[in-house]
This record gives sequence, structure tokens and C-alpha cells, in this order.
Amino acid sequence: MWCRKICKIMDVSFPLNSGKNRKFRKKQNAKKRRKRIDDLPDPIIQHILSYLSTKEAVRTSILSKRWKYLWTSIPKLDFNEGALDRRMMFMKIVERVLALHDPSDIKKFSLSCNVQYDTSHINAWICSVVMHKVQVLKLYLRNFQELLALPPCLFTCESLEVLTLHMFHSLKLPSSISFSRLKFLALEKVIFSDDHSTQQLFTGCPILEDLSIIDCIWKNVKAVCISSPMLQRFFITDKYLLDDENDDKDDLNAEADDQNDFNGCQVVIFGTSLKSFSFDGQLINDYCFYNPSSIVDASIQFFKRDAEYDFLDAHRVFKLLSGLGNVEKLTLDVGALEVLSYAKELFAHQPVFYKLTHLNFESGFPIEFDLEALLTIIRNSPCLNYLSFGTQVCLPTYCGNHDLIMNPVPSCFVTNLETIEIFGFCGDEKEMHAVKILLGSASVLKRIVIICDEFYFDSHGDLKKKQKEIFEQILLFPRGSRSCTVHFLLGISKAPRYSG
Amino acid sequence: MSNTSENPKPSSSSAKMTLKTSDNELFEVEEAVAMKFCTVKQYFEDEKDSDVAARGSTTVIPLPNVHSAVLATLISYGKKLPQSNAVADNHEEEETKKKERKKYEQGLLKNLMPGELLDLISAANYLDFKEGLEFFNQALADHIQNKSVEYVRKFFGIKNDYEPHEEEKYREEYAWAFEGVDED
Repeated sequence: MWCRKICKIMDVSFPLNSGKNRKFRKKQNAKKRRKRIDDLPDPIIQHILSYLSTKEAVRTSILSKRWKYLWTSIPKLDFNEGALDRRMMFMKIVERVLALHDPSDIKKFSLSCNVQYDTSHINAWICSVVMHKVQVLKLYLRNFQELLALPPCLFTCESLEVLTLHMFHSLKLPSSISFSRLKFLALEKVIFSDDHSTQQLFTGCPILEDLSIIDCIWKNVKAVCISSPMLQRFFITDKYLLDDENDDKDDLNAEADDQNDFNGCQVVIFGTSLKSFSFDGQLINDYCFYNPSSIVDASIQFFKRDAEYDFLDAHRVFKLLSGLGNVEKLTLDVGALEVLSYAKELFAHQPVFYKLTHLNFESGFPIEFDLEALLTIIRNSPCLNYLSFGTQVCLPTYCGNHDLIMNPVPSCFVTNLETIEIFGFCGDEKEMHAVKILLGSASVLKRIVIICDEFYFDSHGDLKKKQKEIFEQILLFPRGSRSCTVHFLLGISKAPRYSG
Repeated sequence: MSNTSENPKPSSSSAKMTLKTSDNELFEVEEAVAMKFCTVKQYFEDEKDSDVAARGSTTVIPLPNVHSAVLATLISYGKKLPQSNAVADNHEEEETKKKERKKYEQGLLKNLMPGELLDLISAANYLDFKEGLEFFNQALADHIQNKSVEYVRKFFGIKNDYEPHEEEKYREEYAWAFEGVDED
């Protein structure tokens, strides 16, 4: 019977006229005719159509009369305006698709288009999807020629779970905001209008779990409080001043990102459930965490502003670090530590990171290991188990410095530090010295992983041959820990080449 | 006639169930795999309520809408899915299993004709086999992606019953949807 089964399955792919299996095929044909798509009931076809992109689904209307309206139940709509000369057609199609859609839910709606003078159309589309109980709404609106006030029904939408709004335009909010199901909110380049409405927006998201605020303009807001009780992830980027070309700038908003006389908005975060925090940009605003935070995982990427702001930035960095006392994993831009030196009086009050086990230092430039603020953080992390340097770590070679740095040796080096990773290694004198000091003072170290800067070695061909020599030199450095292995990788993409 | 599945030795922890197809073939399937077919799961649970003694191999679950060839493929696919009751693998084992699954999936799709794919979708829908439905639907969607209307008609065997001027009108109205299509 097993044999018979195999024959049956193979039968299907034989061409129609093979005499060999005519007997079996006759049996086959009698029992079942291969299904054609038109034999399937509408619900199954509609389900298949839901896997197609919007364009493809709309195209099926031309397959045959039966298919004319089958696509109108697809739960996912994605409209991306292409070239400007096709605008009329684009507008018509969005209008038509929404008008023809059957009463079933439109679960996901994504719209990326120029606004120009068509705010009323866009608002009508948004209202339509809100009525279709949209759950995921993504809007990328640009090129405004008139002011846009998004429809009030959007802000009381009970089905909405994910909202992404990307527009370099003022956010005019209605008086009533209630996103009862919203879990994920991302705002990009949005210009907040005033304190009151901005506060209402954040208060109106009671079950929010994920909040991303990307390059938004806060200059009209003095203070705001973010206190969603279920908020777990908070991600902020403030890099719009670094962006020379704001592609979304248009006549209406030409002056919006002027920052004169602006000390920043005070953003207070009550994060009772907050687990993950990430900041990337310039500290234009003043962020602080109200209660001893629950944050487990944090990342701070810092960009310096003009020298006149150094003192202020130092205090703002300090405030951020103070709110991260319970963090377990921290990624810190060395620039943030460098700016701390402009407010040395704060050093004595640096927080102790009692739970910190993973520490990554990132930088665009070689990291100076003898930076006071950097050493302070290491000293204040008694349980540190893993330490990494995202780029070259250097230590000048004059002896004087050497004594001070490891005197006393940071406690984590003696009790907990088991792994050190160094990226972007180029093998110069200062780097070798840093490796020597690290190897020599980490007494419970299990492994040190040194990853070479591939580009550097590839462009200095003669140095490539020296890589083995460099490795052998490192092997000779005295090791504070007997059970420590040195892993020397020739590049990020390359498997470990040398170990010892 | 009973068709035993690939496992020659039934382990003491995995009960087996018997499924009967439209062409009266019997398939013995591990409970863990069979439970992925929610229709089967429902039937089994209903049966369990009514008869405490009967379990596993003594119950034959009829599937009048599913042909044996189709069921064989669905069972085979179900077996390759991560089992919910499996012991957690370490990272390496997981990666190997993922690669195997991908290879299996590619092999499966390569030899599939459109009619078979539709049978599988129809059966997966009847059995309420979510992972199977997802996989085969996606495979179908991937296949007709960016293909011209003529190709799709031929692929599915759909007869065009529009008048030429009607079709022309719709093509114009929905011109946006026709940008970037392979005209083959």
C-alpha cells in the first residue's frame, strides 16, 4: 500500500498522455478533478487576495466578471504616490478603492502622498478608514500648500492599535483625544502646537506600550509629562538640527525649526513600566525620569551642540544618567561622557549602577580610556560582566597616566568582568597600550575579543601581514586572569582567526 | 488499509490519531501534528467529552473533503513546523532546523502545480490549519506577484468574460494598479 501511495502522488506530475499510468489516472480523474480557482468559494479567494499588495489585488478586478468586486474586502490597503504627474490618477484610485470597499474592516491603511491643496480629500479618506475600524494606520504626508487639521474622529478611534504619523507640519489636535486601544505611537517631524494639546495627546493613550518621537519640533511646548502606565519602550531622536536638508520643508513651515531663544521643552517621564529607553541626538530638550526607574535597557547616542550649550548639556546628560540607576544593559556614546567634563562638580554625585552587567561604549572617534567620566562609570558598575568598545580604545603611553588609571583597579575588574570586546582595532601603539592595561588588570577575565578594522588593514596592505605579529605581541602581555583567552578576529565578518 | 507515518516506533509520550480521507485512505498521525489542524482538534475534543475511554488510535476522524495526496502533503508540512511540545533547542539546533525547513519548503513549492496549490489551500482552510494556510497562500501570492493579468488568467484557468471595451475601460480607470507589471 505504501507503494501505491507513492505512485498516486507521482502521478500528478506526469504529462497527460503517458500510457504507463493510464489505469491509475483514470481512477484519479474519476475521483477528483483538480481544483480550479473559480471552484473556490468567495471567502477563500478573498483570503488569498489579502496576501497580495493593494495594486495586485485591484488588478484582479480585470480577471473576469466574477472577480470584479472580490478584491473590495481586502483588509490591508497601501497607497504610495509615485511621480507627481500621475497625481490625478492616484487621487482617483484611492477615492475609488475606499468607496468600493465592502463593509468589512480595513485593518491596515498606509498612505504616503503629497498633500498640496487636498487636505479635505485626505481627511475624508482617514474618516473612511476609521469607520472601517482601522487597526494600523501609517501616514506620511508632505508638501503642504494649506494647513491640515486631521479629522477629530481619528483621535477617538477605538480600534486603532498602531499609529505612525510622519509630517513636517503643525499637529492641530481636537479637544477630545481618546486612543483607548493604541499600543504603538510614532511621531516623526511633527511640530507640537502648544503645551495643553500636546499633554492631552500623551494622556489620551492609556495603554500605550511603545512611543517613538523622531525629530519632532518642540519649540512651542514648555513642559510635558509622559505618564502612560503601560509604557515599556520609549525612543527619542532629536537630530533635525543636524539635518542640513530637511526634505519636508515647504513654504508653510520654513521657519519652524529655528531654535532661537529656546531652552528646550522639559519632558518628565513617569515610567512605571518602562523597560527600554533610547535617546539619539542633541539634548535640545531636558529629559528627566521622575521615579527610580524600571528601565533595564538604555542607549544614549549624543551629539554635541555649540560650545555655549556645553554646561547645560553636561547637566542634561547627568540628569539622564541619574534616571538610569537600575539599568542592566547600557550603550553610551562617549561624547556624552566628554561633555560631562564641563560640569566637574557633578562627578562626585554620579549614580552607581548596581545592576549594570553589560556596558557598551560607542563613539565616532577613538575612545580615550583615560577619560575621567568613562572611568567613573566603570568604577560605579560593581557587577559589570561584559564591557565593549565600539571603536578603537586608546591609552596614551606615558607612565604617569598608567598609575592613576588603575589605582585603584575598578572593583568589577576584580570580581565580575568576564568579557571585553574591542572593535575597530588598528594595532597602533596607544591601542596596544590600552589592551595591555585591560588584560593586566582584569583578574577574572575569561575572554578578550579584539576585532580588527577590516578597512584599515585592507587599505594598508603591508600591515595585513603584521596582523599575526600583533596577535603574538598581545599574547605576551601579562594577563591578570589565568583562564583568559585572547580572540583576535580579522574583521567583523570573519570567523576567529587567532586564539590563545 | 492503514498507512503508518514515517515514525516506525510510536514513543510512549506521543499518542496517535487516525484520519480518514475522502478516498478512504487512513493516515496515522502523531497527536501533536494532528492538533495543528484545528478542525481535527475540535472533533477530537468533542469526541473526548462524549467518550472518556476512547482515545487516539481507536478513534477514526473522517475528513470527507480532503484527498489523500493533499493530506499527505499537509501532514508532511505540519511535521516540519516547530512543535509546541518540543524541548527548547539551543541556538545552533534551531538554526539547523530552520535551514532544513526552508530547504523543504523550497522543494515543496518547486514541484507544485497551480491546481495542487489550490487543493492545498482549500484543504488547509477546511482543516483550519493556520500555518499551512499562511504558507500556501503566501506562496500563491508570491507566484502571481507582478505578473500580467493574462498570465494570472492562464495560471488559474480563468476565462475572461469581459467585452474588450469593458476591459479597456477598467484598465484605464485602474491605471495606477498597472504600473510596473511584467507584460509577458
